[in-house]
Amino acid sequence: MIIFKMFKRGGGLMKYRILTNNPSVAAKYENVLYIEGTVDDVLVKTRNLIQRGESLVTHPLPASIRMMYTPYRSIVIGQASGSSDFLQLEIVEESITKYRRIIEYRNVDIKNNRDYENLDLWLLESALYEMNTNI
Amino acid sequence: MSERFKVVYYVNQFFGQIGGEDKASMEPEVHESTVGPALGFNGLIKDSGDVVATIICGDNYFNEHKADALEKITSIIKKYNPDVFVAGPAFNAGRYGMACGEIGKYVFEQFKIPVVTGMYKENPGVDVCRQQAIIIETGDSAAAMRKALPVMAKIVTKLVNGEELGSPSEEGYIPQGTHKTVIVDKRGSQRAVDMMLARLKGQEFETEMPMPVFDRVDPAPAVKDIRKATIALVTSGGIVPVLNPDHIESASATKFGKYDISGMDGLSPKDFKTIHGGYDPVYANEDPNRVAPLDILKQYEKDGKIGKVFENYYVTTGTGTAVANSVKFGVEIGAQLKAAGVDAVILTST
Amino acid sequence: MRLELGRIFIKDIQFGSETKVSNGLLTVNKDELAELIKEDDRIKDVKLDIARPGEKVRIIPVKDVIEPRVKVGSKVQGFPGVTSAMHRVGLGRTNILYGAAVVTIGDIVGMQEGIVDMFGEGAKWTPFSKTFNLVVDITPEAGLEPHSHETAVRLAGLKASSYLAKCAENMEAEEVLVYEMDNVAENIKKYPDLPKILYVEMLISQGLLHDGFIYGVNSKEILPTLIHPNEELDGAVISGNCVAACDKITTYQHQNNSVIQDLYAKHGKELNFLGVVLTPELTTLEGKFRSCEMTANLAKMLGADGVIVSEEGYGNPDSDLLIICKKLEQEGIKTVLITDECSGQDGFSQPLADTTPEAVAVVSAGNVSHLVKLDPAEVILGNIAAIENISGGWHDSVQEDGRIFCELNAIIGATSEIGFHNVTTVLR
Repeated sequence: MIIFKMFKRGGGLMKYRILTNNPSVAAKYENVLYIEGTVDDVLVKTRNLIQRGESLVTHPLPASIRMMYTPYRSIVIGQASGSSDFLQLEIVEESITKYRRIIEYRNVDIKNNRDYENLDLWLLESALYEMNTNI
Repeated sequence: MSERFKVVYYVNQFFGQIGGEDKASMEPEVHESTVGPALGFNGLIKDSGDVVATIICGDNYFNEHKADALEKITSIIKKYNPDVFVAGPAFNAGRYGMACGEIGKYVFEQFKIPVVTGMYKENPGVDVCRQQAIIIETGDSAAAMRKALPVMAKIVTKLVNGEELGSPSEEGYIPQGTHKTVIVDKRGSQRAVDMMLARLKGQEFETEMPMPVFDRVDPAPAVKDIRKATIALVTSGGIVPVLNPDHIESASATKFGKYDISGMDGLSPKDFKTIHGGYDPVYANEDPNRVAPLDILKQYEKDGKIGKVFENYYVTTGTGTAVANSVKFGVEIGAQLKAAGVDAVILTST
Repeated sequence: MRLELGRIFIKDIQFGSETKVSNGLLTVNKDELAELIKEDDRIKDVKLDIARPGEKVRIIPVKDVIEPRVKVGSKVQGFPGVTSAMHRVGLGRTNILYGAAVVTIGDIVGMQEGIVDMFGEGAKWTPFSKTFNLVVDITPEAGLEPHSHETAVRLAGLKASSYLAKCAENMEAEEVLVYEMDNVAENIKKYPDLPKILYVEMLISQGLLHDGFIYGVNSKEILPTLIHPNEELDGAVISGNCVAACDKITTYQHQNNSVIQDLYAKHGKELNFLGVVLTPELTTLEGKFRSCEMTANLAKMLGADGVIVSEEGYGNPDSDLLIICKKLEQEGIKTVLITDECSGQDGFSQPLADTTPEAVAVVSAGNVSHLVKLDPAEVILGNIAAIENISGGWHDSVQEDGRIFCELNAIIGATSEIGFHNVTTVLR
């Protein structure tokens, strides 16, 4: 059972949940769809949900090269009105393409697992803060 | 480099002075002499290198028997051990360009020696070997040979000497598409201000990061009444008549086929088979309709769900297809269908 | 508003009994500075070192770089809203220890990157191989929570830079740069025929180690804001970005923002420099759309003919950059974008995470995946183990002879997206 939380959006309330493969995030929040897998799995699941009409709240990619090598990624998805938004679909598809190209010749940075786990959590917290402080 | 460098040169049956279309199926031959453009090329590099062998191969042979051709070429390269491989120039000849492209790419990857060729920018072979070979830009016909060879010779000489090539426009080659990082005199912000002023003054400027151009085609408007429409069946799934009379290739197709299916209820495995090199053929050969559903279309026609099935069926192979060729096929087939009054197309791919 | 930046040229740094500048030599009282830094009880200990251009020194991992400056004739010193109370900046006279820099190091997380090599191949790729660096390495109190740790390191660097420059307050400057500009309305009246150019500076604003600060306010909290270029040149904007070494804007680079400097140089002559809009790069799509929309609105309101847009970071901010570009171009406002690219080690990949046909004028700051070979260092300031983390292991980046293979993305300032450095890519 996936529990949703609410945040204010466009004058109303929108349900959202967190897609993640990060155990710290899963431990901290209730409204989590936990994915046992890689960042690629999280991105693909995000795409599948957007195709089915859910909406993208945070951008799938991180904001720096170093963070692209993260073994953990959390993405916030909201429940949408009905049909899929083409711009959001484009964003998530391009993110997958770009991510795969960047990761192609690299190993996942396992040595710094713990740090990436923390960073992903902190960045998610900032994102949730951003979502919840605006009226 | 005190030794002279060695070149193995590839040409097709025409430039190899064997014959024209009639000889397009000739198998690869090697000559320890310089034939056709290899002769002119050899003269241009005579100060430091030699063409030690010329390979002549039929364009059709290569495209239809790729594995065999490459095997033969591999043994030739191993025997002569060249420092550089040169092919063409192919100008705008599609099949020749594809051959030069495929061989060039293969030689580069297997033997790690520089490969130089020459093509007109729209030749489908360009996309095949752009990243592996240096393709000098030529005119669209053999009349451009005189201009092309010296450029090829100059680039070959630079490459064997380990010299870095300058920009594509300076040296005369088609951009490989790589972005090379360099240190320059002006800092980025200065370049940005200069670029802005040039733009505002309407002057020429060159962007440092060209955006990729996506060739988008707007979809046609919906068919008004499907029950009256003529529907054509087209596929890139490689389902052809069993004898493959037009010798459509299993990959990197250079042609498409057009076959009359007016008297048929479907594509029977007795008459059709798959030649597509990109998927397991078992189920397609058992029932070709799985790839190109003529049986269903004919049933719909009988049931009145559609007007009628167009009498001709078009097919090509959609694996490793050069983009330029795909565009060419699409434009040609589309024109034929439109002229024949077809309303819509079922296009299947694998 | 008129700002004078007085340069006092620094040609060497030494530790000594008194912090002063004499004939280009900056002497630093190590103990005094260390005591000052340790006043922050989050900091257990601090190590201070010197790295000079040409020395075989490698500094890693770098957190921030700050230029030592002092406000002449002012009781209030420091970075407004950060190391001092909020106060007005961008005017009056500021003296600079020109050629010197404070470099804070130490990892808050294990995979922080940021190399500054003072010698060899690596020196070519960072501007800070040419500055005389005072390296500050703090040890936090045990169990210090990461947000506090980051704040402590940030403040330590800023305080150290102000401390160093204090001695130069009443010195004669060898060179004085004047940055003077009337207000927007006056400029338009004065230069009716010059094209009006706006600079949009995008700032990474996504959370811990991905922050920027304007007058002490985290850029996550702001809406696109118009400021006077002098404000940024005089310390209003500082960096909290510690993860993207190659394209983050260090505090030093804010203080010396090259786009601002280059636009200013032509102001009143070839163009009318309208000002600077600081735009946060947010995490949520909603936030991004808001940032981009409001940025474009500001440009339109000001009547800009052209906008230069610089980015910070790579990945999701590429979307913001291109959305802003598209919105402006569709209104007939000409843009030039400055960004770096991630084209793979072979340079063949699509450079940006996103594309838009309207981006016809782009300055490339280089390919972050370009491989470089760094020579072995004799001295390593910082975390030796961090060397192994550089560029995250696709093969052994540290060779047996001590050479390091790494991508440009690990070198501070290598692909600066404010065009601070003179790197680019060419099509081959």
